[in-house]
Amino acid sequence: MVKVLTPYELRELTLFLKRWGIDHPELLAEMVDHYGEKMLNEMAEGRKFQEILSSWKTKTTFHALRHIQREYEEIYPSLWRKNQWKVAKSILFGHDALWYFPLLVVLIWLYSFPSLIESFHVLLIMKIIAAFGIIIYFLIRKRTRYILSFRNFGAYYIFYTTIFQTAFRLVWKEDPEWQSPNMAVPVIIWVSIVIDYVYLQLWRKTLVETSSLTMEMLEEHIPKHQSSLQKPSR
Amino acid sequence: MYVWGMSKNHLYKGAISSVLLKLLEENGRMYGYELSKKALEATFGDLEITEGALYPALHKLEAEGFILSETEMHGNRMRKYYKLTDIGGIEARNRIEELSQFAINLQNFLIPKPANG
Repeated sequence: MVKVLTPYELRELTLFLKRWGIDHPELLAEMVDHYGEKMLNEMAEGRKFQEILSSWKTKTTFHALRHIQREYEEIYPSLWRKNQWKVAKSILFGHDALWYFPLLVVLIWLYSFPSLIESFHVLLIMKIIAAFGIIIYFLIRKRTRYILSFRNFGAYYIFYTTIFQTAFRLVWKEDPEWQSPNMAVPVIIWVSIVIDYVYLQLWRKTLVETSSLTMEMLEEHIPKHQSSLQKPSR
Repeated sequence: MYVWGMSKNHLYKGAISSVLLKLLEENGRMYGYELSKKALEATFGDLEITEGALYPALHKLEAEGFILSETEMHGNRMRKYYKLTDIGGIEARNRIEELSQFAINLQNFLIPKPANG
């Protein structure tokens, strides 16, 4: 069975690393694992959790952690681009192409029915409202750093602003009454669905890499229920 | 056994990323702490790769495309594993070759063979 730190120990370790300068969620998750493993190994030799943690609170550790954080900040843009490209490649050339190209065909075919034209316009408006609703919700709740980086989120915002502007220029400005068919409508809906899908993939990837659920639990729920925390018995 | 003060880290400076590539080539998928332990074992306690050297080196190798990472849950922690990419494998072999040649040259320089005749 895998030896684990208790929630109390994990939280103490996370707070220590954050206070000692590790700020980036993905890096924090990696450091929590590194120091967690180191902690468990030292605890196996009979030392207590608090004693080990105190021994790490030195200038040397502080400088080392600051150095790791600084280096990561420098390298992160390049890692970010690689990740985006990896996700984009898997979506463009992977098995996902099996559903999103047929989806475009189906949307265009459905749009050819005059009775559905108005529904498509409503669907487009709902998609855009939902996207901006998501952006506002996450910004208000300040959740973006555990779900998507601000860089990702900024790109999402720009995508949707562009979609909105295109829709306005090509669809509603041309036909304010929404009467005549406009092939831009199904295409814009399709593009927005694909973008949402890409972001869902990125969100899942970030969720895994940053262990954001664990961090949310550690930072938000546990402090509210201090009494439920188990102090280390070792 | 590793004894503090016996470390010859300064001699390995500049070879850390090559050591990491070599370890990944030999062992496949590894995580950060495991790499530092293996390096220590493999060099009989000579090379203690600190966190401050290990992670920047790993992240740089990843950004250069020589290694790639994948994360999975380990107990209640998220663990990031690294493995070589195809070009990372080639790079690993090149660097090992380069280091071996360097070690031979250094040995020839430090302990010159007696001239024949």
